[in-house]
Order: sequence, then C-alpha cells, then structure tokens
Amino acid sequence: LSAARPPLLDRLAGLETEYAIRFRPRQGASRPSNFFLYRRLVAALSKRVLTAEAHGPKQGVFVANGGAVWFEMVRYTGGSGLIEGSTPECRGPRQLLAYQRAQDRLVADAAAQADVPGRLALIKNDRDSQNNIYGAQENYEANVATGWWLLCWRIGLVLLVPLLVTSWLALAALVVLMLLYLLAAGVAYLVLLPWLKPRRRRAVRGALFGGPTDDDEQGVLPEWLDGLLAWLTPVLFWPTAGGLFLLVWGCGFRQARRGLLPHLVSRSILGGSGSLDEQGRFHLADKAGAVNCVVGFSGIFARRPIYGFGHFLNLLLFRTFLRPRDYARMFRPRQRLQLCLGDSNLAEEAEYLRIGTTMLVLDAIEAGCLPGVPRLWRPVQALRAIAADPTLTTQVRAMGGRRFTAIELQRFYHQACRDYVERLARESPDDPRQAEARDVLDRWGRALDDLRQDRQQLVGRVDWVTKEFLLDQAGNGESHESRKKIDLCYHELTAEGYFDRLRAAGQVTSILSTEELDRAMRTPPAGTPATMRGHILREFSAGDGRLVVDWNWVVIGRGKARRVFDLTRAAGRPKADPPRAD
Amino acid sequence: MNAEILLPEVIQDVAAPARPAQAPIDQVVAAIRQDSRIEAGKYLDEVVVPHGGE
Repeated sequence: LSAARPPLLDRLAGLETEYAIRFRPRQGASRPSNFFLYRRLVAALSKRVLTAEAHGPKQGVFVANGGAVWFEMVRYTGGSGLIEGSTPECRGPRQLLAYQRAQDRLVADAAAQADVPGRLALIKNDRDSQNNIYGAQENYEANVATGWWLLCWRIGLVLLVPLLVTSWLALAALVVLMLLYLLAAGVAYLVLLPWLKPRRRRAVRGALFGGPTDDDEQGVLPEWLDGLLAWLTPVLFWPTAGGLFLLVWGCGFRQARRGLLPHLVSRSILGGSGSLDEQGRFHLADKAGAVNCVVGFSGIFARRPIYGFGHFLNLLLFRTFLRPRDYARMFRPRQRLQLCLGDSNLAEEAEYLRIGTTMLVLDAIEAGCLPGVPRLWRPVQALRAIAADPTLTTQVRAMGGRRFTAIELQRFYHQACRDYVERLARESPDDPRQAEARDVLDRWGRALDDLRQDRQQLVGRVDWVTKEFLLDQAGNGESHESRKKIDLCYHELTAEGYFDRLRAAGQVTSILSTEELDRAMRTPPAGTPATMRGHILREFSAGDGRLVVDWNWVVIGRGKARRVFDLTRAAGRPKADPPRAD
Repeated sequence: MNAEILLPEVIQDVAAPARPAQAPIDQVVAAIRQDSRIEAGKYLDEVVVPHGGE
C-alpha cells in the first residue's frame, strides 16, 4: 500500500434528507401553506435546541449539533415545498448514522409540537402517491482527481470563467427585466385601482404580483411568472452548466465514479426502502426507477442522476458571485462527491450498510486496492432492472459479456473490502477504525447471506424486506389504496408510522444506543467543520450580536469587531482555541 | 486528521442496545392491516409533493 493511502473510514460525509409534509387541518380550519408549516416547525425546534439563521437565499437554520434544517422547494407556486434536513459533516458510518437519527428525531418531535391548526407529520421517503420524487442524497469527501487529471480539472475551472461571466450577465439581464416588470405592473395596478371593486383588487394583485406576504407566508410569484422562470433559468445557466458538465464528465471523480458504479447499481438490495408502483408491483427501491443518467445536475438537465453535481453549479453561479473567494475551493483536490440515487431508510442497519459499505469501497478505491471492478453495460438500465426484481435473480451485463446478479456484485465488493481491511490490520493493528470497519464487513456479509438463504431474518433490519413482509402479511388481499398506504405510512415519523409500530413492538434491530442518539442531538461531531460551527452557535446564538452561519464559515459581529472563522481550516486544526462569547 | 481528537467520538460501545419488550408480530400486523383500511385514499392525498424535490 502507498504511504499516502487515506485513513480508514475517516473521510468527511454527510446526508441530506427531504421529508414530505403530511398535514390534516382541524375541523373547520383551512390548510396553511407548506412554508407556514416550516416556520412553525422551526419555531418548535428552536425551543428545544439552539438555532441560528443560515446565510444565503435558501430559508434555513443551523442547529447546535452543526446540522441544518431547510425549506426546500423546486417551484414557488403550486404548493411545492418540503422540510429538508442536513446532518453535520461526520467521520465514519456509525457517527453519521447517529446524526441522521438525531435529525430525524429533532424534526419529527418539532413537527408534533408545532403550533399549527391541525396535525403535522413528516414522511421520510422518496416518492409520493403521485410519483413525485424527492428524498435522500449522500455526500462523501473524495479525490476529485489526481496527477495530470487534477491539472486538467484546474485548467478546466479557469476556462469556465468566460462562460460563468456570460451566465452572470444573463442573470443580471433577467433581474433587470423582473424589476421593469414590477415597475410596469405597479403602474398598471395604480391606474386600474379606481375602477376595481374591493373584492377584485386581491385577485388582480395576485395575478400581477403573486400571493400576500407576512411573517408566516412566503412571498410567491404569479404562477405564469414562476413557470416562465422555471423554463428560462436553465436556458440562462446552460453555458456554465454545459461547460461544467463536460469538465466533470471528463475529469471529475473519474476513479471514484468508475470504481463505485457497480456497487451503487447493486446496493439497493441492502439500502432500498421498497416501493409499490401504480400497477401494484413491488420494487426494492423508491428512487432507482426514476434515475435517468449517470452524471447530471438537478434542475438544469439530466435531472435524476446517480452522481449529482448541482452543488458545483451552485458554487460557481451563486456562491462565487456573492463571495468570489469560494471559487478557490473548487481547486482543492478533495471535493464533495454527491450520490443522488439512495433511498431514505428507517431501518438503522440498512442506513448503516448504505453509508458504511460506500465509505469502505471509496477507501479501497483511493488506496488502489480495488482491482478488476466489472464495467457495466448500460448502468442506469442495470440499476432499474435490479431495483424492479425482488427475487434478486436479475442478471446485469458487464463489458466482455459476463453477467452478474446484484448479490454477486455485492459479494465482489465485500470480498475486496475485506481483503483491504485485513491488509491494513496487518500493517496498522492499532488503528482505532478497524473495529468499525470489521463491524460493517460482518453485517454486510451476514445481510448478503440472509438475502440468499433466509430473507425473513432481515425483517426489521433492511427496509425493503420489512415493507415486503408488511405488504404480504397486512396488505394481502387489500385494495391498492390500502397497500399504498402501507407503503407510505411505513415512513411516517410518528408513533402511528408503521415502522415505528414495529419498533415499539421490539421487532426492529437497533444499532445505536440512547446515549449516542441524545449526544448527537445536542453536540456536534469532533474533528469536522461542524465542530467549530456547533461550538460558535452554542456560544453566540443567544446573544445580541450579529451571527452569520454557513457550511464553510461563520461571521461574528460587525465593523471592527467582525471576526470570520473558516470552518474547513478549523477542522484541520482541532486544537485551536474556539471563540467565546465573553 | 488528528486521530487523538477522534478517539472519544469514534471508539464507542458497539454492543447492541437492549430491545424493547417484544409484542407478538401478529398483533402488530393485524393493527397495521386494520389501520391501512382507514381513510387510505385521504392519506394518499395528504402525502403529495408537487414538483418533487432534488
């Protein structure tokens, strides 16, 4: 092994989860907007843990453990909007699992305690009853490139600058057009006002300017303008998005993407959460059927990718514009690799395996210890075929003509990672991560054995097996609506949720202890950017001074008293004195 | 990364936590079957995310 091999299970990683909102108004009450519900949820959350408003255009708050809760929406109109949680940056699968579960608990409790005119609950899944897709994303720190490829990556970033400026100019033109429209609409409204009856005024205002705005309602656009912007924005961003796509496709994460792909394609047999389609067929995974490309950007083109690079586009188009020094971050050799194909898990073991196996595979790839990875022919189709087959007998074709089942692909990776960990153990027997790596390997191997020999052993451990069991036992002979309710209510984060009912009955295997979960709700993980973020938030959020919190930096105070903390650098220097409010 | 700093967070008790008292699985399944029949259509309508997410 090379001396520069990465430490075992030590990369930064984080999870993003979009929770669907389920709301049932009280008798006689109307349904408020999702943004109203988000605001009330955050108010309830802030009574339990310290929070601070997040920097940037997206509505959100950071919480004391270093994670964040957001209001996520794709469109401004049409009732769009979800609650999104982001775990703090963690190291190691068990730690990340603890923070994901802490986040689930915090937002679920806040939903239950929110002051709303009805019953608010969150659904942690990836597909609603009308096949709209949302859900989970995983982020792993990885080498964007090495050697000559890293040089190519950096040259490409420089070459992107003219395209970036073009997109900024187009964006500025759009803003000017919007302002001109608002001016013209304002004049038209004032001219029409004397002829409008009072009850018509609200409708005209809505058509011209969108909905009303107050503390709990988000200002929205007229629906026609929202639709126009949704169409126009990708067109304006195309030059930068196209250039970045070529750069990522050609140079970005080549080694990791190629080595990981068959693992990700077959991973749904462990991490899939199960789903019923409109014809009543059962699939292993919620999201896999919607994936339509290997590399893409959410919202611009190639919307449902396996590897998502929308965060690079966001960094280039917006963050660089607001804070030019953020552009320099893209030149670093270690970057965020985002996976968009995973499901939201309720079962701890499934989530632990989804994260842990992926981290181990990445470790082996970066150490150069993963030889002979099969190259799949048409990986997106392979992903869908595997996810659509609960018998696990589907074979997918690799280059050269060989065919593999999902279990065989997973066996290949399991064996390769076991060899890698054993080799490390001989070289560094005192590595504290060995125990965790072996735990992942043991659970991984047992799960693959059980899938082949006795699937019922995985009820309460793997989501799709648990849901399939419930559909067979509780949904057998029932209507499609009842079976679909089982599919969705399995994911509801309340005591009435079906997975929680199984948990309460002791039919679910847990990995985390209560103490780990409690600690993860209150304190940030050690040795990551979240450590300093959480510390500063605890020290300063209750004060009167200005506090601006972001993933990469925190600003405290104004004027000469202004102090900026670079959290990414602080994470590399854990012995630095943390700032104090006094 | 300074491994010493990670130790307190990384080395954890990996023993499985105690399971709650077990209720018969048949009982839970029967309750879920019963619940799944109640206002199923209304439930599905309540879980709709127009335009989806990322």
